[in-house]
Amino acid sequence: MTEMKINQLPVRTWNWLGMNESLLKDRDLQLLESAAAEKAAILSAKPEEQIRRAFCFSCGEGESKSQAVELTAEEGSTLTVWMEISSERDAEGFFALATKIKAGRLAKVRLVQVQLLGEKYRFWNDIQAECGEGAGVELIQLFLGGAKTWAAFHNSLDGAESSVSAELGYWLRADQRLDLNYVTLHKEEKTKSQILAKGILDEEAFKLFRGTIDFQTGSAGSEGAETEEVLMLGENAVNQTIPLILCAEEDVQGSHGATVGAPDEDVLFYLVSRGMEKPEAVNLLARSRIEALSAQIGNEALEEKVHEYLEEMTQHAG
Amino acid sequence: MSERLLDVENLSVSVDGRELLHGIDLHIKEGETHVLMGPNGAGKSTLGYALMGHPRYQIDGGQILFRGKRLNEETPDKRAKEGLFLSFQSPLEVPGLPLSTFIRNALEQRRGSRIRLWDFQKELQEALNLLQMDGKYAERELNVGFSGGEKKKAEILQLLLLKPSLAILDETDSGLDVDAVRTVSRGVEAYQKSQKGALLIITHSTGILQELHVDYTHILADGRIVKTGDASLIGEISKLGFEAYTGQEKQQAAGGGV
Amino acid sequence: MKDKTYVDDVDRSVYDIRNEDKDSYRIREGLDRSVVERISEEKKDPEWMRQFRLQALEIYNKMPLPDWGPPLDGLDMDHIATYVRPNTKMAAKWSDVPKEIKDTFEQLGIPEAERRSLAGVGAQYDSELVYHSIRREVAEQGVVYTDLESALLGEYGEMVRRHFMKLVTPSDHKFAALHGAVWSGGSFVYVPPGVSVEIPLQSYFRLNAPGAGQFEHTLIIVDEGADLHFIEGCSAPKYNVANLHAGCVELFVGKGAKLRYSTIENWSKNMYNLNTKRALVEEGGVMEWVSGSFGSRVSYLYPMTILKGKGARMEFTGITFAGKGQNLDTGAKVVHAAPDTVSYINTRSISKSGGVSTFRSAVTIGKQAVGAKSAVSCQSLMLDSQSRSDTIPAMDIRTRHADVGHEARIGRISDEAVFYLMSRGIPEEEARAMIVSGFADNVSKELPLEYAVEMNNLIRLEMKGSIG
Repeated sequence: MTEMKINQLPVRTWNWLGMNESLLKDRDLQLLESAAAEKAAILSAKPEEQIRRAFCFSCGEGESKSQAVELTAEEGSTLTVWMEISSERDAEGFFALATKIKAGRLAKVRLVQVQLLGEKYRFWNDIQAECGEGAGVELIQLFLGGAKTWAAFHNSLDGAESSVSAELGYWLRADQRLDLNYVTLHKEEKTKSQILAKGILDEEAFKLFRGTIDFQTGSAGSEGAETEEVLMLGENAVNQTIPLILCAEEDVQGSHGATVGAPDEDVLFYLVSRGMEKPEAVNLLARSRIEALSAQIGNEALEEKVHEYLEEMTQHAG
Repeated sequence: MSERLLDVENLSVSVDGRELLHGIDLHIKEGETHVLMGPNGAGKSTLGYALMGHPRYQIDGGQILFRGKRLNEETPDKRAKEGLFLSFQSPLEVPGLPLSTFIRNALEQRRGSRIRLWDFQKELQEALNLLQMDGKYAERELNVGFSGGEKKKAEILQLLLLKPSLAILDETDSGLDVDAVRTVSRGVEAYQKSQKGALLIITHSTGILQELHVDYTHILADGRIVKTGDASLIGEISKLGFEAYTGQEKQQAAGGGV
Repeated sequence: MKDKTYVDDVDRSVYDIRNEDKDSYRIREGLDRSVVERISEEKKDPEWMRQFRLQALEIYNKMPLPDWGPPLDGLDMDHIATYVRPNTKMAAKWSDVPKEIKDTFEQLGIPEAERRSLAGVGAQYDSELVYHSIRREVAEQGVVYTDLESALLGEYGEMVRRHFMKLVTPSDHKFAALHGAVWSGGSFVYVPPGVSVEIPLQSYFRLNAPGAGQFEHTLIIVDEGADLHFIEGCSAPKYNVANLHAGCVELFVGKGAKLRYSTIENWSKNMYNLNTKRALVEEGGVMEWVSGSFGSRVSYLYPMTILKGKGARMEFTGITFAGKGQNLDTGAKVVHAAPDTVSYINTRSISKSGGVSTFRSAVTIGKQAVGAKSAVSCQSLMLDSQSRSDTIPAMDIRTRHADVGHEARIGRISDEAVFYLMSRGIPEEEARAMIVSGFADNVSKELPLEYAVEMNNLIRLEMKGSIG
């Protein structure tokens, strides 16, 4: 049997928690290895250039594919990329997507990923980013489909005053699984990072969120914040959260906060008192979380798709 | 007659390399009350911080003399021991440190000897009464969760107990309602009388001044004192606003005269 | 055109092939069976305990060292028997006490006479004497407070057997197994139903009794509706010669009972403190931990609470101060295994002069824990950039009918706050110490006054010379 450790926590803790890493096994591992030989799609913005590009990764029934993407933004340029990852609703398969981002001095890279895969699809998503001086990377992700998703985001703030913001949302149901590993490295002075994860766990869904802010020596004047909000709707849902702050520098500010639980009773009561049925009210609360993020996609066609997907999803559930 | 207390001579101050005060001259004698007014951004708070020795405020030129002793290089605690006090515009919160413990500690530092708990409690209670503060404030953590008004009262409480010879009040009246301003004024008045305490009141409104005796008024604009007068200048400013003086300053700077 | 393939890059940066696992650290020389048998003999163990020790020894020899947490390479694991050898000679003369500790005493201003009697603790006051004086007050209520060996051989032998290492089993981790094999000394407390013990019990002097060593076992049973405050360790420096401490604390809190367990740990700075503490709380019971960690070179300390009965509660309040040469990994674990259980974890940690402090926690809320509530709050203070502070909190939540909150903050002493205090005449060093003491007040306000004062003094001592 072959297996590989992925999504490793930068600093280990008790093994019995099962959060130190995840394992990619047998078939998935083979698929990843065979798929890995594909050539990368390269997109680069010249100094001061502004580029916007949308990718649509349409995954077919029974396929196992991979795609590597390299995004390079040279000095002062702006690169905006949308990625839609989708399949037929009942399709089965495996898709591996690896994205590398290089944001040069004062460059801005905005990456939006929307995962609308079918119920049986497995998805491996890896993003490695580097930020030069004053550069900014903004990541927006929505995970709405798939049987199992492994997502990693590793961002290195190499240049002074560079910044990163990662905002992700998910709505999982049935026995969907989401396994996350987000790391921001503060290497230089006055860098900023923000990780914001919001999601809904319905039915028997499982989610493991690892988030790490790492203030390394030399990162004086930096700030990092992590926030997680999890709405637990399913009787058998499982939520695991491990937000790390590692700090080797005195003059920094780091924080994380997490709230996990069912919808607030007072809010529900308020909605119900205005004539809404309770399941409808719960649905509204859940949906509004996703839609708040969806509204930031900045691409009308993609926002519309998310909207349709949510419509179909909630009808299915109703 | 009155002794010299504070002499600021040709003082220039910068923050992060930007000069905010350009050659200030200010002389305060024992027991005098001075008012420093001026528009936002004129450098009023900068002067307060510089006099108290905030490490971010760098003195580029001139000097600060207190009772003839040069303070330029002294740390804030030494200046406090000499008899200077700054009431902060926004006092800091220090979790876990009770207000009374803090004041007692500061007092002991200033006097250089221990103070009997009983004596301290008595003094503290008198000051609390004067400021209409509930005794439980003294046991609360320093400024933590205090409202704006409570913070300002806590500053005056410290003023009354520490008994400095010169108190700089930085916008102590801002953000307070009429009653709170009256209470604070009463505290300041008590300080003036009982200590023969000198005051430098930094403000951009006249609320707190109505109940206090004022000896001199200075107008600060663009980092310079552009006019000095007696208490009547306050009324003048109320009528004319600061523009009249800042305009005058610009003309002078341009060498135009009147 | 770039012709870089995907495989080249990923191989180096993302993957770690499992075959390369390096966690199979082998102990070349296990702890000798004869050492364990000799301990058992000296202790006049009943047969079951002898067997228990030998089984624990086997487990110990098989188990790997933890693959997480602070490095243990300073521990001579190959010759673990060295640490186990019964410690018959304590420093009984003031002149034998390490200089650092003597300085502490001087600075604390403890009078000469008192100091002499403290230095003589090991020789002059054995544990019995201390206990007797307390026992008179509490014995009338039916409270049992004795050393564990006596309990094991006396009328409470069966009760000890039913509880001993049932909460912390030898297979828990390597040092629990070691403890099971070589434990020696420690306290046994039983509080009968409905009894409230008004004054705290303390285990301060006991650790100095000859032979008590560094593997003491504390077993406390607070029966239904009873109430106890137990204080362990205190701030008195323990100048142990050995440098491994693998104690074990097992606490049983009965239905509606309440136990508060306070520790101010200030081992000398050559100590590897691998202590295991665990509490089991029945319906409506309350477990409160108050924990201050100041000493040791390396600490692994995470008191665990199992909220077994409906409505059981736990509160953990901790402070850790890691100074020069220290790597203190501390925190708490809680398992919510019943409905309406409640946990609060509130910790502060301070890192200074190259010290490393890590806050580590685990909150697990089982499916059956409907209506559970948990709140974790941890704050860290960095006093300079040579130091390090990590926060590693884990949560595992398996019911939607739970309310879980978590917050963590890391930062430094604000320059503005220092300036503010200085502007009132307080010197910088003092101002910083005041802010740090205030930061630690979550713990100090939970301690009896004399310990709070002592803890503050400790902080002040640590803060001495922190300027420039």
